Amino acid sequence: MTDYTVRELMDKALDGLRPPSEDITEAVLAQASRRQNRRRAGALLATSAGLALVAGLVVALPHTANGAAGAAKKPGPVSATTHAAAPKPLRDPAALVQSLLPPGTGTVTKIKDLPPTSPPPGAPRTTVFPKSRLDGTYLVTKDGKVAALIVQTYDPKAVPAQWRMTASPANVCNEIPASWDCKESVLPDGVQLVQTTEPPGNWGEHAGTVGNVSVAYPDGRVVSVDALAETHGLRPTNFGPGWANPPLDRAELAAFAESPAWFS
Amino acid sequence: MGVARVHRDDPELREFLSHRRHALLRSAYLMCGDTHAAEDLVQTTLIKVVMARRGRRRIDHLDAYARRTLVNTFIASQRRFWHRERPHGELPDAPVTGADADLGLAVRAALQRLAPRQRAVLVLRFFEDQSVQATAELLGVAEGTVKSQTARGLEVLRAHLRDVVGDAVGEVVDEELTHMHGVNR
Repeated sequence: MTDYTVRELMDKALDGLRPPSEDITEAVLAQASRRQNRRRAGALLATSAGLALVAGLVVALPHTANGAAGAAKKPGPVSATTHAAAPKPLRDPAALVQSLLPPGTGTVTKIKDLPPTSPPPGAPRTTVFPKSRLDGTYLVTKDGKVAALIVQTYDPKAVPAQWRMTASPANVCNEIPASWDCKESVLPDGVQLVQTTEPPGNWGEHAGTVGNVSVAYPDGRVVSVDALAETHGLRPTNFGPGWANPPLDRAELAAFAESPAWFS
Repeated sequence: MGVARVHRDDPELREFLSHRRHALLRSAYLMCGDTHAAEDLVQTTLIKVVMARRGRRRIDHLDAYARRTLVNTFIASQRRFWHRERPHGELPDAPVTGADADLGLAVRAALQRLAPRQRAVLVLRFFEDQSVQATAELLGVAEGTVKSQTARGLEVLRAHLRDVVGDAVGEVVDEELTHMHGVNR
């Protein structure tokens, strides 16, 4: 009688499995692009559904966003924790982020963006789209420990055109492991809110717990914020020891991302 | 998660897609028990990897990220009501003792008797040689959960393979269990 280890038994189970004959690299890349385009189409459909409301609001509320009244009337969601809109837009992104955090959260600094990845030799040059001046990685330091907030926004009306972002597909939480505690909500005015809490090691190899919220407005605007408990791997620099948890809890993170200040 | 940005060529990603697909397919086949389902799972996994890579995520090791995506996609897909596990009564009877082909068939059938997460745990632990800690991190569960799922999974394998290869498997499984309780591989 032959003795088998579990590994050997599994190798036996693989008998007859042929290596893939064709290369599906191009197909996978194309399908990923199509899926991203479908997400965009979904967002556009949502925009059409709320067209009358959004059109009316766009006419009534140009993107001034420097007054509490204008901010209050924007087609934004209702936050679990609300922040008063700043009377004037803060020009310094770090100061703006600081103003949106609950008091005592920590000191905010913005670090430089990574340079765009160079294309391989011979490949066509890729377009580097401009981003909002508020996009980027912000360190949150308290008691010598450093956490991070990564902010990304997209405004389809921005000129010049920004790097495109799209809303999540409906029922996106069905595709996400239960351990991420994904929650999708549709807020008043059709705003889509998706929240997750990724367990350590998922966002990046050495990342701690990462909270994420994405807010997608019917008019195509998107805000995505990642709240990282630690900063390992964000840059070649070692910024210092991390926090035990992300700098904002779920409700705080949602309120942070839902602020109208991102499009001011 | 949840949003995506679009950019273009990424040589490391292309290299990964070309060369790591077969390794992923082997793990997927053990979990799915079916070639077509395994190929679908791998393709879905690779698409997710591409989309994550095109997004803002920092992925230090594509292989580890893909492995995590593979098992989590597999478990998530099994949760959907239209993709439920087949009832045990529909599984084939144990094949004839002896031939390797029959043994492979019996192992695949035995694996299908496991709950999806148990199957994923056994594949990660024994086929991909991941430690208890690494498996727990990949699946987003506690190490204790990995140990208990491993124990239950091995017991099911032992019970269903004893008829095929006799007590040899039972002894080996017992050794694995003893080893598992003593050491975090």
